[in-house]
Amino acid sequence: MSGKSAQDKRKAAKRAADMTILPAGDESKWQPPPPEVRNESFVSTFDAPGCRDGKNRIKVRIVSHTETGALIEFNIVHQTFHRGKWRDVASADSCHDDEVHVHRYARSSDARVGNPETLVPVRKLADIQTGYDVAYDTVVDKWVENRGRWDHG
Amino acid sequence: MGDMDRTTLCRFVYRRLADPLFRERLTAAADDGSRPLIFCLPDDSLRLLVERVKGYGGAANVFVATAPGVLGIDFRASDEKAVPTRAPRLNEACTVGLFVERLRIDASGTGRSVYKFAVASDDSVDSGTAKVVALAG
Repeated sequence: MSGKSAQDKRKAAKRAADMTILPAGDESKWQPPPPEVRNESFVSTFDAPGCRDGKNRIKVRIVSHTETGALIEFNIVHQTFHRGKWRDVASADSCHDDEVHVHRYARSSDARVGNPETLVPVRKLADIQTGYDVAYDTVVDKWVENRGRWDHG
Repeated sequence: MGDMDRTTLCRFVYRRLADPLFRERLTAAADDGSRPLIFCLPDDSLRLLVERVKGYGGAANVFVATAPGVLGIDFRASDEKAVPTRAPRLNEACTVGLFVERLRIDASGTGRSVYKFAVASDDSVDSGTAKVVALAG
């Protein structure tokens, strides 16, 4: 006999679980490379595929590692030309270090709407590259769908 | 590769943008320093390509899906009406595919890396330069 009640056992299990989760979370948090190894931002622009009137474009911003060339940070934005200016429709970025996610914008206010949609959790440098590839599917491949959603936002 | 559509070409280039060696080859820049990209198929109109390059400020990195592979071109379009002498004057019906063939034939053996050309229509002439870029990555 251990001498512990069922309630004591549940409390002990809960405490044990807490102690294993927190340190694991801290250890898995990815630390981005320091500023001195960040290349200057590279920015590129192209028409959204299939857009023939030049009124939907994709802007890509990339920062890579000065020594290894690995992707450190990126931002990809779908913009539409509406009433004389370029306005954000959807964007994906890795700028918050712990995940690559998508933001969506409203036509009525130009503000972000809803919570960001997580595409890829970032726990290591290679996850940035994975997120970059996945971001294409969401921002570029679905630009028509995103534009339609923006119209009603 | 010859059957690559515009969407596939776009994704092909997008993925390679992550490679710094590839980005170094994108020499055509807009006034703000950004690198415009244009994705072409052989049947596209050269005239419309020139107009699109002008829309980006006069310089763009053009990618063409050709049978041997993806061709990169540093493409400059000019509003100047003075067409360089000896520049071939292409018909406005010229396609990007024909232009690429002409570029390869005319540029080979001349030793010149920059190809000057003009596109003529009934009421105007546009001139420009094209330079094939060796792609990395």
